[in-house]
Amino acid sequence: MPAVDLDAPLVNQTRGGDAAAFDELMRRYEDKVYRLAIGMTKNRDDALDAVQDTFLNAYRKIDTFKGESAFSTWLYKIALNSIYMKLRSRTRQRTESLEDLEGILDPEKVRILMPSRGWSERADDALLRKELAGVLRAAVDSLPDEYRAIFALREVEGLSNQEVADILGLSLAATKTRLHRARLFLRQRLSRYLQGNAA
Amino acid sequence: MSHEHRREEPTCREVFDLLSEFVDGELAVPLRESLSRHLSACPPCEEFLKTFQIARSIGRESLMEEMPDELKARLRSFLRDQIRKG
Repeated sequence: MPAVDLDAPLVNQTRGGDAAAFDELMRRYEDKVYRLAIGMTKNRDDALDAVQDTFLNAYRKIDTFKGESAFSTWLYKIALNSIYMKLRSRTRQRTESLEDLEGILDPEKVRILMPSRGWSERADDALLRKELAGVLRAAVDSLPDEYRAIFALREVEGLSNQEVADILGLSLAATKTRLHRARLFLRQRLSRYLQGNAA
Repeated sequence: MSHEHRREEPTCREVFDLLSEFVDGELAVPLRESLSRHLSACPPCEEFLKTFQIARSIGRESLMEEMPDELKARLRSFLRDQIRKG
């Protein structure tokens, strides 16, 4: 947790019944929570439901927030619970198996010995990069929920590994391993796509 | 890997395993420096690092999305109603 939680004054004002303070907290976090929700649920209505539940629960439970973690960590925990509830309530889509993701830690399987030459230069092309964003979005979508949450919180929201571990209730070591696997998986998907589309 | 490195230097396998901690700046200075030396001397690992970083960067871009204004308005309206109900 940071030495000073910049949200603490607004949290205290919200506890005192200041609705404008909670509105400001929402303004700070609505894009972040929505991004996590849409990244996890892949559905706008589900994402909106999860964001609404998150802020309503945060408002109702604000007195239970003891300040032992940053407000943001507490809020992300509530958000993930809301998102997981949403995911559980609907038919699941196929995701990568954990076994396949564990196998990705084998460098032979990700062709460390023979990376295709010129791969990195091709990915700099602006038009191709847009196309690749679609490929990687599909790859992120196919990750198991927990891996997707770790990737989003770490890479998109810029949280530290320790913050991500605290939010997900995982050990730091487990968080780092899963993040590494997720990153390797995305690289592998990109590599396969580029090799498959090589001129 | 087929490249030879000094015995005290990390192997390609070790570089592969430590890549996330390397890019996150979480390695102790001596290990980070030895990985940097390895990457400078080993073109396949250097290329792997580049592509690893590109995948991270495009993956991040693919998830960048702001909440549409219309949904923000619906969120506020929903909360106002719920809070009024108590």
